[in-house]
Amino acid sequence: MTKDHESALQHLALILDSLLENKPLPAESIDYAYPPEWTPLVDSCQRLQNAIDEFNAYVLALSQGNIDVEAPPRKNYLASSLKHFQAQLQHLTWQAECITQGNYNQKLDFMGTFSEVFNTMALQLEFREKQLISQQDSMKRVFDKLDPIFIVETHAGTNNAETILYANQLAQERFHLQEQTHLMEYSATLPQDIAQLPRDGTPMEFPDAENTYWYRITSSYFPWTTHHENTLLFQCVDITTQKRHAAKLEQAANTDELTKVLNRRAFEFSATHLWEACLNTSKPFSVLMFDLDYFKRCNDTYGHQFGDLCLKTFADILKKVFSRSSDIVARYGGEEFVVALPFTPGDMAILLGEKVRERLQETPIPDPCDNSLDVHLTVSIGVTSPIPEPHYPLNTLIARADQALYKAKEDGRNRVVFLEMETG
Amino acid sequence: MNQTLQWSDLGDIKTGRGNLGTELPVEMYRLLQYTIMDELTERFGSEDAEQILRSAGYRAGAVFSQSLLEKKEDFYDFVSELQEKLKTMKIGILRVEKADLEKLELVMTVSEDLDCSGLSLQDNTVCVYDEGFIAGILDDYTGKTFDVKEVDCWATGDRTCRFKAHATN
Repeated sequence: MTKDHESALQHLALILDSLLENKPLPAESIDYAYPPEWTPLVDSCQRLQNAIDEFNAYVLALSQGNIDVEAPPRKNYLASSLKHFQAQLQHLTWQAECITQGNYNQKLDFMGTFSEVFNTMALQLEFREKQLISQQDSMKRVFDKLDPIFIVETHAGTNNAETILYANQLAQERFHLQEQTHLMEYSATLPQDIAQLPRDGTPMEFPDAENTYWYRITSSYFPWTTHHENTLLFQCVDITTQKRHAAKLEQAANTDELTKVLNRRAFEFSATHLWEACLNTSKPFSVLMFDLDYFKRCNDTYGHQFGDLCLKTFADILKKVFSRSSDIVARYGGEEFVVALPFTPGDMAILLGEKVRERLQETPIPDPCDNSLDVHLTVSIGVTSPIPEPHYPLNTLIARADQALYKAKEDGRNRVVFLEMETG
Repeated sequence: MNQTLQWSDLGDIKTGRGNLGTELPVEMYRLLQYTIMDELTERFGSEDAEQILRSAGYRAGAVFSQSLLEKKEDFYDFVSELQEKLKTMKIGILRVEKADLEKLELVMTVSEDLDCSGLSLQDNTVCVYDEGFIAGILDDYTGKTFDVKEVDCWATGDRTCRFKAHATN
C-alpha cells in the first residue's frame, strides 16, 4: 500500500467515524484527492450520509408526534421498518376515529401490550355506551309517560331563537313535532306558535282534530347541558280532565235537569249581561213570562210523569221558537218559564209569544190513561219590552212581565198580555 | 366487463382434495402468477401484461365480494368484515389508514401480502393483481368505479403494501 493509499484510507475512516457519530463529514476528507478509482466509494459515503440525514429527520418528526410526516424516498431502505411502524400508527389513528364514531369492531393486534390496553379501553367504552343508551331508553320511557315536556336551548343574539333539545312523546304528538328516537339527539327550532305561548301557568286551549286539550305551561332553568343558564324546561301540565269536569259541573249547575233549559240562577246571570248590552246601546229588551194553564190539575189528574212530559214538551217548543244565540230560555220555577230577548221590540216579542201559545195548543200530548186520546195544553204569557234604563234593573222587568202574566190569567188564560213599564 | 366466473366454478375442493386439503403453499401461488405474468409480458409487453393481470384481479375481487362478503351497510362494519375475510383466506392483513367517505378516498395497507411479501428488491411495485382485486371489491360494495394504485410495496423496500384508492365517477 502506498502512502497515498494509507492517507486516503485514514480520510475514509474519518468519514465513516463521522457517520457513526452522526457528525458533519469533515470537509478535508470529502475534498481529499482520492485516487480516481476510489471515487465510487466516496460517492457511496456521501449517499449514505444523505440517507442517514433523511432517516434522522424522519425519526425526529415521528418522535415529535408528526405521524403524517412524509417518509423518505423508496430507495432509502434504512426507513423501511420505521415506515411500516408509521403505517401501523396511522391505522391506529383510524381505529381510534372509528371508536369515537361509535364503531367498536376494530381490534388492535400489532402493538404488543398496548394492544391489550387499547382493546380493553374500547370494550369498556362500548359497554358504557350500551349502559348509557339503556339508561337513556329507561329515562325516555319514563318521560314519555309524562305530560308534554320540552327542553329548549336559547341562543342569545340570534333573535332569541330557541332550539328543542328534547321533546317527549306527548309533546311530539300534541305539538306535531318530528319524531325523536334518541333522548339526547334532537335539534329542531322551536315553532313560533309554541315559542309565543305564555309560560306563566295560564290555562291554554289547544284544539286538535278530535279533541281539545288544555295545558298550563311553565318554564324554568334546567341543567340539561353544561350551559344550563341557557336551557329551559317547559312543562305543559295537562288540565284537560279538570277543565272537562269543570265544564260539566258548570253545565249541571246552570241547567234544569228535566227540561235542559237554563235554570233561574243561570238566567239571571246571562240576562243581566244582555240587559246591560241593551242599556248601553238603547235597544229594546223583552222579557216573556210563561205559565202553563191548569198545570196543577193536569198533574193531579194524569200524574207527575205526565206533568214532566208536559214541561219537556213546552220547553222544546220554547227552544225552537227562541233559537237565536242571544235568546235566553229558562225554567223559572214549577210550571213557570221565562225568556229574555235582547234587541227585540215589544211587537216582535208579542208575536213570538203568540207563536208559542199557538204551537202548544196545537201540540198533542198522548193521554196516559187512554192511548186513543190526546191532551192539549194552553199557556198564559206576560210580556214587557222596555228600552232599559238604569232604574229598570232586570228584576223590575221580570216583575212587570209577571204582572202581565197575572193579568193574562185573570183575563181567562191562554193569551198574551203586554204591559209597558210603569213610569216614575 | 362481463362476469362469467362464479365462486361455485372453483369446485368442491374439500371433496376433490380429501387428503391434501384446501390449502396451497404460497410459493406455488406465486409460481403460477409470475409465470403467467412472464408469459403475458413476453407476448404483449409489460404494460399490457400488467393491465391484463389487473383486470383479472378486478374480476377476482368482484367474485370474492359477491360470494364471500355480506357487504354491510355501515362502512366500518364492511371494513371489519373485509379485514376478517382477507385474514381468514390468508391474502393479507388489511389496515385502513385514512378514509374520506364523502370524497370516497381511501388509503389502506396490506401487510404480509400474498403477492409480494418477502420478494427481493425491484425497481417497481408489483401488486398489480391486488390493485385490481381491491378495485373489484370496492366497486361491488359502493356501486362506483374505483381507481386503485399501489404506492408502496415490499418489492420496493417497504414492509407493507400501501394502496391509494379513489372513486372516479
